[in-house]
Formats: sequence, structure tokens, C-alpha cells
Amino acid sequence: MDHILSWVVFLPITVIPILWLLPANKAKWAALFITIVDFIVAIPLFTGFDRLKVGVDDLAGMQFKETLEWIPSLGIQYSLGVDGISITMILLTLIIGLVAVLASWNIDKLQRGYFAMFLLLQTAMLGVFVALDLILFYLFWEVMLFPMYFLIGVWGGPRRIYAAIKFFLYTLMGSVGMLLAIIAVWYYAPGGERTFNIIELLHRVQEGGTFVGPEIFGMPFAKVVFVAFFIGFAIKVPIFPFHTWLPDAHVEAPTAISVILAGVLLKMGTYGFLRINFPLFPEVFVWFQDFLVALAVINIVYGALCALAQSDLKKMIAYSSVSHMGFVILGIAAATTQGINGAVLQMFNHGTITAMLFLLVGVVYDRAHHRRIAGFGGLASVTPVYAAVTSIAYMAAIGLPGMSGFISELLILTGSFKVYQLPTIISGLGIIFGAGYMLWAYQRIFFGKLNPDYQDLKEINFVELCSVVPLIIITVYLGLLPNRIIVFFETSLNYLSEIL
Amino acid sequence: MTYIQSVIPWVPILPLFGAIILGLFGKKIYDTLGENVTGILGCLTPMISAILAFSAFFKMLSVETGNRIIQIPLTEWITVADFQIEWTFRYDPLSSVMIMIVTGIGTLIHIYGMGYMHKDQSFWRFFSYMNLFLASMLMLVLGDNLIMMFLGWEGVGLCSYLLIGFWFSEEANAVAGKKAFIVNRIGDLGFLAGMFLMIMYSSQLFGNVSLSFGEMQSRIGDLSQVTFWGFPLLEVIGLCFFIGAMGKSAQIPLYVWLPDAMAGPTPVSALIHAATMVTAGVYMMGRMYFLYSLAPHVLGFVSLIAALTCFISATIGMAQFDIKKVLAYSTVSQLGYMFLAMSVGAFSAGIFHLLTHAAFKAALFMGSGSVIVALHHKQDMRNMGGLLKKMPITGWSFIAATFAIMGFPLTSGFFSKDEILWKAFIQGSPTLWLVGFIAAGITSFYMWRLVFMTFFGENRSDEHTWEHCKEQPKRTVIPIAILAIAAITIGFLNVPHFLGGHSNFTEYLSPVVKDLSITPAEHYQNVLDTAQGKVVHESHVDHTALEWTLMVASVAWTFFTAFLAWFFYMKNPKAREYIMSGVWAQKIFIILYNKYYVDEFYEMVVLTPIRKLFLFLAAFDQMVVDGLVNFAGFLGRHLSAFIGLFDQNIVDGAVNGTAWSFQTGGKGFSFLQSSKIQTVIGTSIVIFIIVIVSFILYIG
Repeated sequence: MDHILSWVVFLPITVIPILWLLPANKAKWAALFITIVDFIVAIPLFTGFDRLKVGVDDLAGMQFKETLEWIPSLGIQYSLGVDGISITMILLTLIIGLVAVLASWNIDKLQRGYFAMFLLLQTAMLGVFVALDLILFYLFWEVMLFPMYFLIGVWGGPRRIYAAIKFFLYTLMGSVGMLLAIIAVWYYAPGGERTFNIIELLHRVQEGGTFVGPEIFGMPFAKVVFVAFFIGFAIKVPIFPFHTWLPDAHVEAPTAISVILAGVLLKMGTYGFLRINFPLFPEVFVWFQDFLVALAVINIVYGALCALAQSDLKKMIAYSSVSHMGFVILGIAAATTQGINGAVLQMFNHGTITAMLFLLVGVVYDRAHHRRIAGFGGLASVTPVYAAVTSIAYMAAIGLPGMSGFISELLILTGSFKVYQLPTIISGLGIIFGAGYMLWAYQRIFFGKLNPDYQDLKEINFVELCSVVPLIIITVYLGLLPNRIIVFFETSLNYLSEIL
Repeated sequence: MTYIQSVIPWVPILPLFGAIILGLFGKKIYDTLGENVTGILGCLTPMISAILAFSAFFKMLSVETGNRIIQIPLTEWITVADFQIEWTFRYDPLSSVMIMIVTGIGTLIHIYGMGYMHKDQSFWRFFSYMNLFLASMLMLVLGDNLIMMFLGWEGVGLCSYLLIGFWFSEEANAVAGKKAFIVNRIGDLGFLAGMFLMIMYSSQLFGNVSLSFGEMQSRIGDLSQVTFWGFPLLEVIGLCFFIGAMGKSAQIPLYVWLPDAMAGPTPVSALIHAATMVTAGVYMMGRMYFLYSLAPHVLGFVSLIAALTCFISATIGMAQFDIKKVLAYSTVSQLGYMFLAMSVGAFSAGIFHLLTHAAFKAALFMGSGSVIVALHHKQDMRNMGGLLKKMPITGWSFIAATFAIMGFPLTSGFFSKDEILWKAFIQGSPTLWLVGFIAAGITSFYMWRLVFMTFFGENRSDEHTWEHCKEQPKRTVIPIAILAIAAITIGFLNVPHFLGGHSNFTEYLSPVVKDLSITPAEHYQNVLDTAQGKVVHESHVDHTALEWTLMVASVAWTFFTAFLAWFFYMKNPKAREYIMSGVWAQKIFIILYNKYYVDEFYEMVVLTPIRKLFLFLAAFDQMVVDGLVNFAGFLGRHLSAFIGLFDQNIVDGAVNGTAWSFQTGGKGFSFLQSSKIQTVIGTSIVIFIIVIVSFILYIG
């Protein structure tokens, strides 16, 4: 099939008009159908993917390429393609998309609108991971904001408006800088001819080209552009101190959107680091490295400590995301082979594991209508299956060996230990605190005397299990045989770690 | 594919299957087929594993000594560039001993558990967790590389957590489980750090990372040349791994979780918190003896910790009334003995004590469990007494195991403890020996105190309990009796030369665990000298007389303290009361009874500050970090509103377009109240246009 990437990216939005031809309560079936179809259509991507091709800065190494002239006068192209990094993210997005549809099963307000926004979001996310043109990348990046805004703002919790606008403006603020950086990169493209093509730019940088531009506010051009990109992506990750939108967005968002937010959206930030920000400015990256490691350590330890203090379950998991994304940054910042491979693996694993955590919060929230950790107690005796599934998910989040999170954290820490011993050990504290908040929360929710209010709490149902169990299987499978996914991105990332 | 190679992978995998089947379908099986079927299913996989483990061992005996290290590669695990970890099992004399201990005692305790957990609501869950524990523990001892060992290491920690909090509706049990897990995590950080150092220098020096034990051993010479932050690398790595061992094997200062862990069902205490899991740290040091024999300073530190642990926890054991707490502190103390052996380079003596301790301590715990069930889950020894009449099998087995732990001549504890004390004297220092010697006496005292309070004298429980108190069913007492027999006899596996034996056990382990014959420091010096080409003289002095003297001394000493226990608790309780009424005796007793206030100390010095820190950080996050964000929003809103007003009223219609944009912007920023999406989109468009235009003008 030609244009397979375009198909995969745009299939989700093709059903949006159809949603209004269906009864409102059938919209979810259409959404489920199209996400499954999208998954099936995407299968050739994974089977036909050549794992030995590097990609990164080599246009010939990008696979399933599609290129169309879009705005020739500015050199803007509709250019898609994947390498090891993006294929992993595509896989993650497709899995999380499917899971999130199931998590949306109980939406009863404005269903058509909800799924229309949902599918638009899906397309935008997929687009970000395959776009090779900076403007196209930026377009997908921005398009994603709008459905997200509505999904939180309309279908969210009590403070949804505040959270939605905070999310929107915060990300927007970052992307303004990013847009400026994109223009700057285009304008001062090394090698004379201006281009928006990411791969072409990276290629020129590797050939020895640098961005020579005027000083901005007395700072060297490259550093300012680097920082502009960095802030744009850092807000998304989120990196301290740009993280405060995340707990609010998570708490107010409906379950499925929390799942997508934690599962996929956060990874766009680190994807941006790897795809654009750091390889475009390898020298500035070296200058920035120590600082980045410091930020990573802060993210890990600070996020974990904040998680310990939370009384709202979803907020706790949101802060745990801050902590776990810190590991991704640590791995990237170390820029060693294991570090970067571990970072991308952690992006995937955090996506699946945190998605599970949010799904499971959703289960209890749907029944109890609150999320106060202290407001439960003894649930293990009324909902044993739910308790068992949750314990597996929590253990995965703690990084128990045999589950996927362990492998990626191990790789990241070994990778970063080679260059930064002390910060790595301090990050290790995050692992201890991680066990602390997870087990403490678990104990308060499931153990102890049964709270009489929840004597008749309903057990986790079939649809909910359908959304969680596949993720558990993935988590365990990749814990035992992580190589099955490492092979996809290893070649690309080994190369990337060399050029950084 | 030899017999051993084909059989060994099944040893850990079978209990794993058992755990999964019981975990998924256990409730259904329990509800439809009943308790017995569930229990038999739970015991079946450990039993088959035990049969395989023992048969592999007898096969092993016919293998030449030189070929006794058998690697069984399964598949690759983690491969990233030079970092290559495989799923490989390693069957050698050390792991063969360990899997026999784990599966053998494991099977007995599973059978015992069928009786102990009789009529428990979560019968199936218990067996699922226990199977999972066995699988993890077997993985730990069979793993060929550090990562597999760590997998088992964490796996047993998880099962320990699950089983301590098994009766989770008691808040205290759940808290104890959590405490165990988190304290262990602190140790794990040490384990990980050691592993990272190993990885880092392996890849620097050899270009590839293999954490397999054989590979590390062959590289140890080169690694010993390296320094890290100015310290010899092996010392640092050894220390890191020992921190891991301190957590798992409950050494000072990380021992605090183990006494609390007694909240779990007694079979769990017997299997996990006495016989197997807590000895993982000892096993780990034995497994990496090649590293520790080149790290004399760490061994010095280990001996300090071990001696302290051994002594302090023994003293606490004297002042406890909960029967399981006494045994728990006794376990901590005995683990101290094992580390004492490791720290003077008597690795095989440590492993041998691991073996004998597994037998007698499991018997003791199971015996105490039998008593506890008979007394309707009462654990306070002050309410026991005279139980020997009611429970003869339990009682005599318990007494047999007590003989073993006190080191009564020719029982297992006699051989293993004496070996350790002797090595501590000759390869450590007389001080080390003295501490171990005194602790041995204390051990004998508190164990006999326990026996007399529980099984002898007058019954002190209430009438009703005494009436219903009876010997437990066969499935409970037979495993205890078997272990008690083992506790008496297995010492003959390692009869030392001066008593006319051949040290068979040490010999058997020698292909993989080589003892030092001199102090670690001298050994290290010898290695250095050999490397520089100097000739090393090994002197052989005949110590037989000294060995006999020390042995007689410790036997006499333990007899004496046993006599004291008899005198104070049986013969003449008045004398005890008289002594205890003294002010100082009271004070000492209270300190011991409260375990030196270590938990309180941790609460004050570690937990409270952390709690304050995270509460502070969360407030900081909300007030300051997020406050700044909200403040920016607030500022923007008012600024643009102001500019909008200014524009409308003063600049008037002259620049209508700008006015429109600012006004829209103003409305947009009033997001905190308005929430209209149009204004947001408006704002963003305006911001975009302004910023982009000015930027293009600027760079153009």
C-alpha cells in the first residue's frame, strides 16, 4: 500500500463526519472501529520496518517516506517518514489510542463531539511523530492543542475550565518560542539554501554546518534558538519548573484523556529533544548537558517527594509521571548508548504503565466519585480482582524486575552512571521514594479496615479489564524480552548517541 | 543436553506455573474443589522441584570436581550495544546446595502451611504467593548474572511484602509489609550502585558488559587495579553490595523490618524470614567471594556490622515476650554469625551455617506456629507454659532444634557455629571471637528461657484455652519433626579435621567458593606480592590444641547460660524476680524490651524530616512554582485589560486594528473567569501575529 503513513495518520479523522450520521450512543463503536482499523493498517509499518537503517539525519534511511510540495515558495513540504525513534512512538500511540477508546466507554455527555475531538487528537499525535518538515511538525503540534482543550474543558472535572486554559496557554507559550526557533533555523539554515526539512538540516549539521546568526540579547544565536526549542519541549515533558499544568490537567481531565496525556503527549516533548532540539545543536547540547542532568535529578526526586504528599490519587500519579519522565531526561542528558536507548524504552514503558495507573484510578472514580486516597480503605476484600490488577500496575510503576519499567530504568541509570555518578545515585533515591508513595497509597486504598461506604463496591468490569489487561501483558512481556522492542530503535539511537 | 541441563530450568519455572495457576484460578478451584485440592496443588510444584533439585545433586556427585560449574543459557534478555545480559541459569555446588535448601524446606513448609492456614478465607492466595516466592528465590540462587540475581532479589522482596501483609485488614500488618519493602529498597540502591560500578568499569576496561559471575571472576584481577574516587574499586563495589545484603539479610542498621515482618503467617516467617530469603545476602557474598577476598577493608567493616548485629539482637531477644519476636531477633543474630564467617574469609563456614540455621530455625518457627494455633493465636509466652504434655511432638521437636541452635555437641549448630567462632578467632581477631562467644551464650539463654516458659512449668493460659489446646494434625507436626531430625544430624556433613572429619561440605563447595586460610588483609597482601613476583610463604601451624580449648570453652559457656535459664525460669523464679526488681536491672530490661529505641530513633531522624520535606515541597510547588504561573496569568489579564482601556479611550479610533487586537487579547487573558474559547483563540492568534512579525522584522 502506498502512502501508508498518510493513511495511518489521517484514518482516525475520516470517520468524524460519519459520527453525526450515527445515533449518539453508537459513536464510540465508530471510534473503536476506526482505531482498530488504524492499528491493522499500521501493521505493515512494523513488519516491513528495516531495523538496520539508521535514519536520524539520513534521508535515505528514513522509511515509508512520502514527500509532496506544499508551499514551494517557502520550501515547505508535506514530508513524512519514520525511523527507529518514531516507529516506537507510533506503536505507543496506536496502543494507547485503542486503550483510551475503551476507557471512554462510559462518556455520556455529547458523545459525538467527544469522539470527534478524540479522533482529531489521535491524528495530530500520530502526525507529530511522522512529520519530517518543521512546519508540518509544528502544525500537528498545534492542532493537537485544540481537541485537548475541549476534551478537558468540556468533559473534565469541576475545575476543568481553569485546567484546560492553563494547559492551553502554557503549551502555547512554549510553542510560540518554538515557532520562532523554527523560523530562525530555516532562515539561517547552514549550507545556504533554506529548508524546513528536519532531516536535511540534521544532515547539514553533521556535515559540519552550524547556524550562524546575529547575537540575540547579547547571547550567541545558537544558544538562544536551542533554549527556545528547549522550553517549548520542556513544557510538554514537563520539566521542572514548567510542570505545574500537568497535575491540574490530569486531575480535571476525564480518564481517557489522562491516559493519552500521560501515555503519549508527554513523550512528544522528549521526542522533540531527540528529533530536533539536541541533534540540531550538538555543541550547545554539550554546554547544556550538566544543567539538563540537574533538571533531570530535580524532576525525579522533587516529583517523587511531591507525589508522597498528595492526597488526590490522580495528582499523585501525575507527580509520579514528573518523576518518571525525569528518568527519560536523565538518559538523554547522559547521551550514552544505554542512556538514550533506555530513555526511549522508558518513553514507551512509561506510556503503557502510567496509562494503566490512570485507567485504574478511573475505575474507582467511576464508582466512588472521588479520588481521595484517605477516603477509601480495605477495598481489597470487596474488589479482589481490581486490587490484584492494581497491585501489578503499581509494581510495574515501582520498577519491579521482570516488568518493563525496570529494564528501562536500569538502562538509563547504567547509561548515566558512566558519566554522572553522583546524580545517578541521587536519582536512585527517586526509586526508594517511588516505592514509598506507591505502596503507601496502595495500603491506604486496599488494606486496613473496610470503609463501610464501599461495602457494595462493584468489581472491575469487562470493558475495563479489556483496557488494562493488554497493557499488563505488554509490561510483563517487555520485562522478560525487552529486546523485542529494543531492536526497533537501537540502530537509530546508537547512532544518535554517537553524534550527541 | 545433560540431565542436569534439562532439569534445572524447571526447578524455578514449576513453582512459577503453580503461582500463576493458583493466582488466576485459585478462587475457583478453592470454591469448587475445596481446600485439600487447592493445598495439594500448591504443594505439588514445590515438591516436584525438590525432587528435581535433589536428583540433580546426586547426578552432580558423579560429575568430576572440575566440571561442576554448569551454565544453562536460555535466551538473550537485554542487549543494547556493549551491554549484554542473558537469561542463563548456573548450576554449581553452591547453587545446588541453595536450591536443595529452598525446595526441601519450602516443600515441608508448604505442607505445614496446609495445616496452619486451615479454614483461612484466602487459602488459595497464600499458596499462590508462596509458590511465587519459591520461584523468585530459586531464580535468585540459580541466576548466572547479577541482573537475574537482582530479579530474584526483588521478587522475594515482593513476596515478602505480600505475605507479611497477608492478613491485610489489620492495618499493622500492611504497615509492616510496606516497611519491609521500603527498607529493602534502601539496600537495593546499594546493590544497584555496585552493579553500575561493575558495568561502568567492565565496559571501560573490556569493551563489553557481562555481569555473569564466571566472567566477573575472570576479570577480577584487572578490576582490582582500578580506583574509583580514590578508593580501590573492589572495595567500593564490595561495600555497595554489602549495603544490599544489609537490607535483605537484616543487618544493623537496616534490620528493623525483620522483627515487624513477623506479622505474616508463621509458615511465612519460617520460610522467608528465617530459612531462605533473609540469607540471600550471605549467599550473595558467597557467590562473589572472589570480589570480597580482594576487599579486606570492606570485610573489616562487615565483621564490625556482623559482630554488632549478632550481639545486639541477641540481647534484645532476652527481653521479648512474643514467642515469634524472640525467634525473629534470634534470626537477626544468627545472620550476624553468617556474616561474621564471611567477613573473615570463611565463606564455606558461613554457607554451612546458612544450611544448618535454615533447618533448626525453620523447625523452631514451625514449632512456635503450632503452639500459636493450639492457643488460638496467642503469642505471648507469659500466657503459655506446660505445653509439652499437650503437644509432645511439637514440643520435643522444638527442644531438639533448641539443642541445635545452642550448639549442643554433635548437633548441627555445634559444628557450624564452632567453625565460625574458630575462624573468627584465627582469621579475624580474638575480639571478634569474644563477641561471638558471648552472643552464643546469650542465644542459649534466651532459647532455653523460651522453651521453659512455653513447654515447661505451670500452665498460665486461661482454662478454656488450655482445655482446647491439643497437638496439631499430622500435616503440621510431621514437617516439624523432619526438620528437627535434620537440625540434629546435618552437622555431620562438615565435621572438621581436628575432630577426625573431612570437612566434606567445604570440599564440595571449593570449586566455586574458596575459603581464605589466612586473614583477609594478609591474603590481600599476598596477592599483591604475588603480582609483583615476590615469593609468598605460607606457614602451617598446628592449632589443634587451641581449637579444642575454644570448643570446650564455648560448650561450657552455653551449658552455663542454659543452666541459668533453667535456674531463673524453672527452679527458682523468686531469684529472678529479686534480681529484676533492682533499679538498674529494670532500666536495662526496659531498654532491651523496647529494642534500644531504634525504631523511635529512625522515626525521629529519618521519617519525620522526610515527611516535613515532602509536605514543604508540595506546598512550595503549589504556592511558589504554580503561584508564579497563576501570577503571570493574572498580570497578563490585567495588563491587557488596562492596555485595552487605554487604547479605547485615549488613542481612540486612530489605530482601530491594534485596538481590536488588544481588546480581544484582554478578553482572552481574562480566562480565569470568562472561559470563552473564542477569546483564547483570539489571544493566541494575536500573540502569534505580533511576535512573528516583530521577530521577522528583527532578524531581517
